[in-house]
Amino acid sequence: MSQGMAQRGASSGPMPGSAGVWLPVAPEGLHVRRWGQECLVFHEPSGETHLLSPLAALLFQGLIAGGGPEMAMVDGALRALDCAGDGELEALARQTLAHLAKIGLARYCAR
Amino acid sequence: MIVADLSPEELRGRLGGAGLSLRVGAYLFRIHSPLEPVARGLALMYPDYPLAPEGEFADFPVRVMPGRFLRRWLQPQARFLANGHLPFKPMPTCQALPLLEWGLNWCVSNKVFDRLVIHSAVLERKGLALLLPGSPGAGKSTLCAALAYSGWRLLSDELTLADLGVPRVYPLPRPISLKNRSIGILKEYAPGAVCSEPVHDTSKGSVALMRAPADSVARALEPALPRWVVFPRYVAGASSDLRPLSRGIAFMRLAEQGFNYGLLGRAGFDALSDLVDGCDCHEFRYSRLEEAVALLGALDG
Amino acid sequence: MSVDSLLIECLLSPERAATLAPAEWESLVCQGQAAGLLGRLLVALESSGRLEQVPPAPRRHLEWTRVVIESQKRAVRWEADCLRRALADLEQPFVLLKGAAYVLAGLPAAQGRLFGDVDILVAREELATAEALLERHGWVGAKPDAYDQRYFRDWMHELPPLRHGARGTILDVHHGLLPVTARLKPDADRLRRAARPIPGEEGLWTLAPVDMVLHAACHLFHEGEFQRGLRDLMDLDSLLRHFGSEPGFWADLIPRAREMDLGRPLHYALRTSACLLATPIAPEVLEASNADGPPALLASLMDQLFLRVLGGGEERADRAAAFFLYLRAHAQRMPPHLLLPHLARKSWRALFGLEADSAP
Repeated sequence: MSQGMAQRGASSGPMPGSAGVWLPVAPEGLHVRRWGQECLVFHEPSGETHLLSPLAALLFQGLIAGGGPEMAMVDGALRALDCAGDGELEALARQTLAHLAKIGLARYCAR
Repeated sequence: MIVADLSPEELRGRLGGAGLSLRVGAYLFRIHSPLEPVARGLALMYPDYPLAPEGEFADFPVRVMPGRFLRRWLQPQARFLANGHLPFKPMPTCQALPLLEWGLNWCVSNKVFDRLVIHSAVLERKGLALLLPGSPGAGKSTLCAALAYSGWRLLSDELTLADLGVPRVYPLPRPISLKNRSIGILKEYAPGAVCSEPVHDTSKGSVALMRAPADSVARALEPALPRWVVFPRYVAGASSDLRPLSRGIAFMRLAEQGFNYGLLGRAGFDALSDLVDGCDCHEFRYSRLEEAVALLGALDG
Repeated sequence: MSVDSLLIECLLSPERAATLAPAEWESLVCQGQAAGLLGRLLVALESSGRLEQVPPAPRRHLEWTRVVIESQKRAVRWEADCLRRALADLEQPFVLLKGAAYVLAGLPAAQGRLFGDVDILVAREELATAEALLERHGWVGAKPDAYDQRYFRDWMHELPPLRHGARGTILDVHHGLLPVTARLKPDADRLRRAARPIPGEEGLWTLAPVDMVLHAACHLFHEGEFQRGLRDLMDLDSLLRHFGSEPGFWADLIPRAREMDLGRPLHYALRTSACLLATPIAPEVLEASNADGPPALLASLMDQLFLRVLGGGEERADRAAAFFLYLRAHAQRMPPHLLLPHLARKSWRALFGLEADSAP
């Protein structure tokens, strides 16, 4: 189980460059519950349950919608938070994507 | 037939012979033990429990046996055995009753997989269930005992058994395990309740058991609808403080207390999300029992 | 009738279960649990269409087992997936062994089987690389005891068990089949060279069918763990029944065993499996394997011991027999001067309860 992933653990693991695309993982292994802003994801293959931070939830939503280039994913999430252009948050969003990949909720495809 | 129908000799005869087959909720435990503290404890704590006829299939045949070899004479010990397996280290014979209680909990929390088993006290009022999950020492048993003797029906002080299909929790009424200071506090709060003699120096300190109310034993097959999840925390001298907790956080904390949450996979996730979905969730700091009981009694159905 | 023969009887003839009284069901469930074979019983009952006839109370226990087994299978699949990613940089592919191999390859031996650890085989020359890769991906040594570390590194055919820090799963990394010091010297490289990729599971390999059987036989009679003897024998039986219908399997088995210096363990395995579980083995195969057996007197003694221990039961005599086999298994693995200190350590630990779980 992991909680508030954007706050911790996101710094480890390789950081993919911005040239590639982020893709969703097989949807049949994902089960989602939402309560207001909270987003709970059960990843069936690993048996792990994750409570996503608001930022991670937005990025995850973008992935489910089909994913896309890193820049576009990050921009989309930041705009939804009304924080477009915030450099610190942008870095955090990139880390969060990498972390989502690490726990099996996203795939990165270098081009 | 119930335990109280047996004479002291008959009770000891069964414990030393074919076993004492107790029905607790949906499960049948068969207990073997030649130890006097076990016989005395069962007579005191389980008088109202139904006995199963001999030869019936027991879900959990268990034994509480004396130590082996020299141990038996040097420092008498009790060992808990479930199907030949020894889940705990042996304990001094005087602690045999708490050892049996831990052992019975161990059976249910390690073997039952058609229910989500959560480490949580659970009580009922007007068909609606209140879950009191908590880490050891958070004061859930104390609060649970007070509520069980204040108009709530005790389902369990230790294990919540949640259905995997519908939002429903099942009783497993057993004696409430009180530790250290709460023993005295509860004796004062519920002077009519029957308690076992405290045993000291267990791995959890002093432990005494409080008998489950007869009504709760009689209605041991009657489920309830989960309605509130309250995470209690005893803070000496603090005033009562009941705060809403988000469902997401409550889910994660309940999952952490789930004995088989991880093992059940998706079924566990669905059951727990449904349960949380139908509940108001709170954090609760308390110190004075009367005040705490009044506050929880005022929760909206 | 010895106690566990009820379990064996019902595993072999599930129709017998329909005639059981409640008390007999209770001993059957207890035996099944103790032997780790309740799942096999479930599968046997289900595939013979008898599950419906099981009374509700024991049936509930069988269903509980189903949940555990399904969960373990999911976990094993995920573990294999994590291993594939962690070890992608190895030059020679790692090979899944035992239970994990049965699950990923979809073998009948995985049906109803309980799992403990995941076992893999890596090339001896890549052992250090594999260890470093695993460490980088979150696996850590599970036994901090310095004596155990030395025991495993100097004398064993596997690393001390590794534990994944986040998932808590246990991984056994083998670089050989038998301890370095064992009398028999099967060559693990030959096994790896004959290994096969699992269709549809990129990057995952299993042993060839004959080698899988030899490894199971080796495990059954050379490791010191006889508590799970019957379960391991069921694995072997299932492998033999499954692969037995593949062309060339029986013809290859005995020559391969001799080539690998494993004729004797295979001999014991075939005999015991045929005798206890009625595994269909052609008489000429059994006869050919007899040439690898021990001298007549020892053979009859060993037969009795194996059947008694694998047949289970809690009698004192059985435990004595199990202890004898335990000593024997160790004697085969290590030169005698090493044997005593290790056994002494083990009993010292048992005496002081270091291996038992702590109080709740």
